[in-house]
Amino acid sequence: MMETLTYLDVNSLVYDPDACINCGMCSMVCPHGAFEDGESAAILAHKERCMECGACMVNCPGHAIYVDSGVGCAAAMINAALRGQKEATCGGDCGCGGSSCCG
Amino acid sequence: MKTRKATPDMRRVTFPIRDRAVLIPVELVGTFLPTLGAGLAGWLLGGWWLAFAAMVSILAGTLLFPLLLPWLPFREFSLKGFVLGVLVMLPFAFWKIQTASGSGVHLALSLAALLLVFPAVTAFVSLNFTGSTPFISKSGVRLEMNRFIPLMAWLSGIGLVAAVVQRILELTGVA
Repeated sequence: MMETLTYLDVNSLVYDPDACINCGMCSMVCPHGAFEDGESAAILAHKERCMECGACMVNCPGHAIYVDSGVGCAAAMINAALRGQKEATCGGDCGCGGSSCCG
Repeated sequence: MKTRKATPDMRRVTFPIRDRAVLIPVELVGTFLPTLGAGLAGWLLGGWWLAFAAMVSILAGTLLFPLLLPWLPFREFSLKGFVLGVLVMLPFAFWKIQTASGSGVHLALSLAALLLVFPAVTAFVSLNFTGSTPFISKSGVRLEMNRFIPLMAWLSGIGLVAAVVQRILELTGVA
């Protein structure tokens, strides 16, 4: 059974169809099919499915997509808040927050 | 594989029960010490049944929550967890009602404590499962944390007050 799980309809995804060059990359790389191929530009068909992974933004040559990507993890956010870090990261035991040991 | 090109299905991320089940040991290890601590605190404060209830409330979030994720109502993990927490506390509540010896006030306070504190614990443990899932957005988690962590704190605080009042009434023999 394929389960389509959807979280809250809250994300930072912003798409500008005017800047789209219709290369099809966003619809290809999105792990949840938020984008679909369109006639002249990609269509943001399921914005609510966005998990803010940032794959579409990184792969968009026209810079038509913006998303504030990051770790959607309550435990990491709580750890970051307790340590006074701005950005939550996974595997926070080293406390590096993306530098040194995290390469 | 023959075409050496990823199909659209390969590019999609799903979260079937198998993928959720393999995460359970990680969750169990991560909450091992808090579970033992909760059990010990429960045992010291109320005996074996409270120790059992405390440990069950955490295990519900680590063991049952990943399995039951799609079937629990609501989209927020905290609310899903709270519902699950109430469900696993129902047998304890029935047991309390069956064995109640004091007045109705005692029973009401005990039940309020049981059904507020432990479901809030399950809700918090469940909220921490957000990071293990492949469909959660950072903005959504932040919103949920801002909304529901204070609520969990309030509910468990009210429940603890109810438990303390019940114990004081019991010790002083009032009501």
